[in-house]
Amino acid sequence: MELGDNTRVVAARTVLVVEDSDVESQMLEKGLRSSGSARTVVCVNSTTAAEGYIFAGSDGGQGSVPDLVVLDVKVPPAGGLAFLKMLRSNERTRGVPVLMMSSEMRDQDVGDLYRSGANSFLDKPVDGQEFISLVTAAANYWLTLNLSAGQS
Amino acid sequence: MSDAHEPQSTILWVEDNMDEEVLVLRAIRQASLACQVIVAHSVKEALDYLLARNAFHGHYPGIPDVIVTNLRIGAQSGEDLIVEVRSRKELRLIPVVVLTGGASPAKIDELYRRGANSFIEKPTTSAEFSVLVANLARYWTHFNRSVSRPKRTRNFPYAL
Repeated sequence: MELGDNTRVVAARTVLVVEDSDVESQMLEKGLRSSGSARTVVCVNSTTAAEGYIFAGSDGGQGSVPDLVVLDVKVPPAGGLAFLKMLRSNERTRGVPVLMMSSEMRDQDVGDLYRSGANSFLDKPVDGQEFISLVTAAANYWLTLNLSAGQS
Repeated sequence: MSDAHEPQSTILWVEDNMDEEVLVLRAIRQASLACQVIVAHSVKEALDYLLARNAFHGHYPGIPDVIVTNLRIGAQSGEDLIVEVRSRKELRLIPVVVLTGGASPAKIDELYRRGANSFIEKPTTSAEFSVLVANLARYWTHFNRSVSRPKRTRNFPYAL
């Protein structure tokens, strides 16, 4: 991807990956890292851990709001849709871009994701290399082209 | 909108600047994307297209895979279009990307609240703008899955 002379592009970016499959989590991390636009990639395997990372309950800290959330639709225990709704109902995370992914999704279920505030939905390709390339392309879009709320 | 050679994807591009319209169409053609671009020159024209009324009466054009709108369209605002689209059941789920040349963080925040899926600042040079248009079109018509664009079954080279 060609990038213009724009300093916004080189800013450090943190991506939170919420995916319970180890294999897919590794592919997501690989795809994100090869985009060059994700400085920090944090992978968690449950919505509980994701909530802990963002809102930091137990240690009393402030937590950290990522620049992009890559969210598996079927991640336990709450599921991606419920976690998305939670992010959208909270003032701190309302504007975070949420990119949802699944390998088997019916059209009406895709509709529910958009209705609940997902920015984008991607089908997970079966082929591993394709999966990684798609994630790289998506990271380039969401981290270098898109401007999210609260980012300037 | 020919039936014989139905393109795979459709973008509704809302743009009132003729020079930019030419750049957009050329950039998408040169990127060899299998998608058709419908250019609407006002919010009204965009809604006429989406609701198949007035000039578009009598033929159902199909829901686009994405709406790309400028924030300022003459005296109107892309924000008005977002509000209209999000308030109609049959249009509500179409992804909307907003393009602008400079908007305050407060305005960006408001657009997301209104239901924009993505917000992009226009680059200053036409060369950069063309690259942006191609990448944006590729992402929303070939990578993203919307309700109007069913799951892709064939393999595809993914690159931005």
